[in-house]
Amino acid sequence: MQRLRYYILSLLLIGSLSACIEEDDYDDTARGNIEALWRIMDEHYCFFDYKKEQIGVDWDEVHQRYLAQANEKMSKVQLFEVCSNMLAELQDGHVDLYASHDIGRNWSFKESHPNNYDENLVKDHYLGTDYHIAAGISYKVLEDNIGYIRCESFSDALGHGNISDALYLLALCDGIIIDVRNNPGGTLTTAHRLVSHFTNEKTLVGYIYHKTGKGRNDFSKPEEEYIEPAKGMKWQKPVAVLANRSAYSAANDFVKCMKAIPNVTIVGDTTGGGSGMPMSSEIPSGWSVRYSAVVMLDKDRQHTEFGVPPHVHVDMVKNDQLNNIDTIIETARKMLRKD
Amino acid sequence: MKKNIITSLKLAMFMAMMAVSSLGHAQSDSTDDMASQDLSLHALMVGAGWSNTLDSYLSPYNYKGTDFTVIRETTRPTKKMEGNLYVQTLFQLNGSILENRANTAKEYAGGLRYGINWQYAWKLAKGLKVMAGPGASAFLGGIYNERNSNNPGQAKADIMVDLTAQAFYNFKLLRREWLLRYEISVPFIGMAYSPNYGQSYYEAFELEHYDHNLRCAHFVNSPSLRHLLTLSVPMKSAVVRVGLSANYQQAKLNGLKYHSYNTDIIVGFSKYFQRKTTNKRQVLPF
Repeated sequence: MQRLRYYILSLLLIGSLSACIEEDDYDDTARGNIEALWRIMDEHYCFFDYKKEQIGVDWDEVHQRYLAQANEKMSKVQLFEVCSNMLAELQDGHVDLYASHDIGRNWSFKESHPNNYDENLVKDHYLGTDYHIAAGISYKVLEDNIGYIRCESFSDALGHGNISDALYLLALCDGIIIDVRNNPGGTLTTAHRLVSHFTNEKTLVGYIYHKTGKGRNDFSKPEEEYIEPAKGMKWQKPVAVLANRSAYSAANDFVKCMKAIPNVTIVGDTTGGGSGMPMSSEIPSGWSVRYSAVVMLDKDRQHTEFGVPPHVHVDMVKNDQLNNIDTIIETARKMLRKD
Repeated sequence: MKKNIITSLKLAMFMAMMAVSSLGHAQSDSTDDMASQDLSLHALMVGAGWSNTLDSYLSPYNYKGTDFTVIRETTRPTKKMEGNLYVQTLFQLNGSILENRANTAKEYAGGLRYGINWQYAWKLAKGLKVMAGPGASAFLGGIYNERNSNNPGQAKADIMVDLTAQAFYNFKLLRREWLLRYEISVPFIGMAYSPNYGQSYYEAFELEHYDHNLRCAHFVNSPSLRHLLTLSVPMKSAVVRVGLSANYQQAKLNGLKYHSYNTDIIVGFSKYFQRKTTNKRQVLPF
């Protein structure tokens, strides 16, 4: 059957004098997989120049160093480790290798920094049990008439109706806190939908561009990215956005956009970054590789790949934590009360 | 993979047997011409086979699997060029279930192509007829990769001017009149949609950032071919067809490589309708 199929295909293709369009192929060997992985990154990854400038990654040197580790006697697990280590050189949380037994990753964006968030503390002493839930956000009015919105992820559904209704219930508050600490990201559209309730005019929030070819500097022209005001309820009073190093990807973009809006103060730690929109590909072993493919800059054309710095830098204080106080929330409350 | 193909062939053979058994015995021969009797041909075929698909926007490797297709064809003569100009319309719906070579990921591909061809007919010898002419076709479809992140799918759309040709050979065998037909369509020039090399669908559709997404496609950057080989034999009330549909689409646009090689074994039936009366023709017109 296989042969028959081959003959039919060959006959028809030769008969039609048509040139086949194919990609370069690599063997499913240690060398083939490392080479294929390096090539995929080389042709698609969008931050080579920036990473070289910031952390000194020389992708050609990485190629030589990791190819030298290829050994056809190595097990799949060992090969996976070598491939993962090669990707980890880029220190990018959007660069991962997925196999059935593991995910190769570099989470140094959060693992080498203070956590600055205590989930139990927030649940037990701030949200309590009488909070409201509007799709992907939980919220309540704190004792000092400050509204508190907890947004754990942008992967959950969150419509304009949910946001408008929540803001309506918080309308009498003196200000609101939007807590995106430990928010790993999700859908950009959802993050931008939330931002759109905090601006009255079309606001430039950044620039976006993508690769246009295999060359490391083949990029499109940066296009402006705007947030249009939402049609529903729009918040007019002061806002504090709480961030930490685990606010990543779409949450990083949310903080970037909110920072472009007047009346918004970012409180806490620098975000985790992850400003490259990830795409996926694969290597001959069948492992899936994810990489940053589209660059998103802030409104001043600056990279936020390594995070968005806060207006007010505050770390959690151990003693406060022991006394059931979230230092970052309390700083924001104090600031909003002053306003 | 092999199992899938064998299953597809079994399915195609089963459908062929069902079609033949429902149609009964062969009728008399005929070499009448469609134009002189003002006949139009309507055919419906289903098929199954194999597919080999590459879309470098989703993966640099070929995904292979099973393809299913449905083809609807209508051919009618016109009064132009002394009745030698024919108009043929073709709808081809196809869907494929594909897997990468490591069997760790699946893709689903499919689409609908509509084509209309204007072909001039030459009768070269008794039983041998050739038709050729320009055509136009449009395709709308896509590929979905089940595990990709922000590039889970790829939309496919094109509008092309095609060059088309068919050859018919009418012969007698086993006291029946058979018709062997081969048709080829070559997309010549047109427009095709493609995202740019690393452009996300978020940029293209959410932010509406255009970046060379409508490209001129032609036989150099999109060398593609569509073959249709059929063998027809008249039965009781229709003409049974079996054949092969080989649809080879290729493109290299915005640095992205694409191919979709679909080969299907097809079965079906056709009927000739007398356009001015309600009498249905039962036999081959050539």
